[in-house]
Amino acid sequence: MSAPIASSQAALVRELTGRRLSRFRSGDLLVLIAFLMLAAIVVCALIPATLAPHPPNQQEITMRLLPPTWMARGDSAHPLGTDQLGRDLLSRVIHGARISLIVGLSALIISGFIGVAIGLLAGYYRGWLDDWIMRLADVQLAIPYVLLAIAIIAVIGPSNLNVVLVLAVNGWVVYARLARGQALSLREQEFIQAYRALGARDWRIVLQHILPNLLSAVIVVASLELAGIITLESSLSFLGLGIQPPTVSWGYMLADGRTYQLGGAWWVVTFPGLAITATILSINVLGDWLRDVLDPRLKI
Amino acid sequence: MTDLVVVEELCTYFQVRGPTGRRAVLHAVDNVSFVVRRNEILALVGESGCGKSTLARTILQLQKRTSGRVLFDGQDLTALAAGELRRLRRRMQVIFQHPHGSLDPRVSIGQAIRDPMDIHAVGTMDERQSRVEELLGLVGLHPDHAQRFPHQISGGQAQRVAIARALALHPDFIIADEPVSSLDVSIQAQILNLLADLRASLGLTYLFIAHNLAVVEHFSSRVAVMYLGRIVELAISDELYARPLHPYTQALLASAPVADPDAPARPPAYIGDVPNPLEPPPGCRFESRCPMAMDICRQVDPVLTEVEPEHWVACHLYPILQRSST
Repeated sequence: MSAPIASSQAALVRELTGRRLSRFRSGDLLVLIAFLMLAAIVVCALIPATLAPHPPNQQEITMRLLPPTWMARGDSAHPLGTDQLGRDLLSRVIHGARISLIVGLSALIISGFIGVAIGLLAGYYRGWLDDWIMRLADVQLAIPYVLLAIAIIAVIGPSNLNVVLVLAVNGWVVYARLARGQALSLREQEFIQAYRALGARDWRIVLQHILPNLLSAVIVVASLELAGIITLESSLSFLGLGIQPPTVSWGYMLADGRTYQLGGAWWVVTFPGLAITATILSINVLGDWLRDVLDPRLKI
Repeated sequence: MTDLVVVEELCTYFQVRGPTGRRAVLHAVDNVSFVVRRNEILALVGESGCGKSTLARTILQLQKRTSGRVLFDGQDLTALAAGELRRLRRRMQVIFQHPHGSLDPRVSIGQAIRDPMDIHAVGTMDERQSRVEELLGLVGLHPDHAQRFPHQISGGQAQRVAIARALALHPDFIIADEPVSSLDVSIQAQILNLLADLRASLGLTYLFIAHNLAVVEHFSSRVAVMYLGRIVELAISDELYARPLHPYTQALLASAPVADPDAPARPPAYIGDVPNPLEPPPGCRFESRCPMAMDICRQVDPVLTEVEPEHWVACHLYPILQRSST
């Protein structure tokens, strides 16, 4: 009587474990793909001149708006085609990796560092410091970002370094709020109370017990934020406030080529767009994976 | 001097916002005075929300007091400078209710036990390491547990780690805030036995908090019963269980379940709910639920008085009895 139940249970167990195993495998594969993609992008950023077939700003007006090489009018010298000034798209995408990664990562690190530090202080000490910092964050969120960016750039002038600063100024609020919320909940936990009862100093509690416990959340948010930062950089570049030509950036390529896309030259915007998507996607996947690796509770 | 900890008229109030957004003051600990004698186990019993944990946190200066004093070995903790307090913290420790909650999930067991020594820079690296092993043995854990992380051990084991960490600096006084409430019954006995053994061998003094009178009956030297921020009765353990004086203590004892399935169901020992702690009644706080309430109970707040040697109670029933007899 119990035999059919047992066998159906066994089947269920087999199905469930099989599903779990296959999910693990596909997850690992995704991480591997993301890692390889990001590695390729980083290599592009490190040695663009070696990899690119042409200098990024070399113009050949006679060869303008050539489609990718596999299409009817394609030219084998320009695998991804050319833009409106006859510049090789593949070379420009490869060169664009450097500035996008440098600007994105440095803005991310600066804003993350400042935001987490401020949020930790506000959340752990609370009181007037907390009130002031959070009101400041509210005020900043109330101002449209592009307006703020225009105002700052108008004062300090457009340059590649200033783009990083503007992006960092925009980004700190997210980290400050996240770190504050986490610190607020962590400081009431019994283990933090236990360390206070042991006589641990505040810096020790904050740096050794609160910071490590909120870092995984910060890393995941940072990997999502990078997408936003690269998009913001492209909108700034589009307005002429961002990366200044002749430096090549994916955002600027998008903005610059968008009118030709309507004329049928879709490749002018598609390839820089794909490069942005690939970067963001692989960073998100790796960020997720990193969170799992950093969490001791998920270790077996 | 036999008193290790002296609590004098301690009050801890919280500014809160009521349901209507109106500001109100929550009297979590209200004018509490008692002493903890060297080498005793003083149990503090009361239902959830009566202020037991706040009292514990206030004694340890983890929570700022509103008024009153806490003397530890003659030193007023509420008046000490931060550095002096930190040095004195080596001598008083705390064990919390949630075994896993009291351990940092990212700190290994060995490091958690070693942390107190790192914080106070006690001994050399080798000495700290051997002390960790010694402490693991003392609380009945294997030296291999040192490599593990909190999520890899059971609740009972985690509570042993918390005890080992509390003992690392050779404290005199330990506050145990419901240390067995979230453990299985079989594990509860183990942990209680461990705590009792450690007290005997290390000469510790405990303030043991529980919401259950049964847990502390055979464990404590004296018992204090707390109700709505006040201590209502304090007596030697045997005396309190044999002859509870305060109606609340009587009700608590009567409501303890009897281990007999055939025992007749008893009527509830007292009725109604705890009064709103934001607006405590002007008289006795137990008056609204007390079967023996008198007129005076509605008007005058009873004071904790020693009605018999070593038996303190805050109830209008008893000073009257005593006055008529003397």
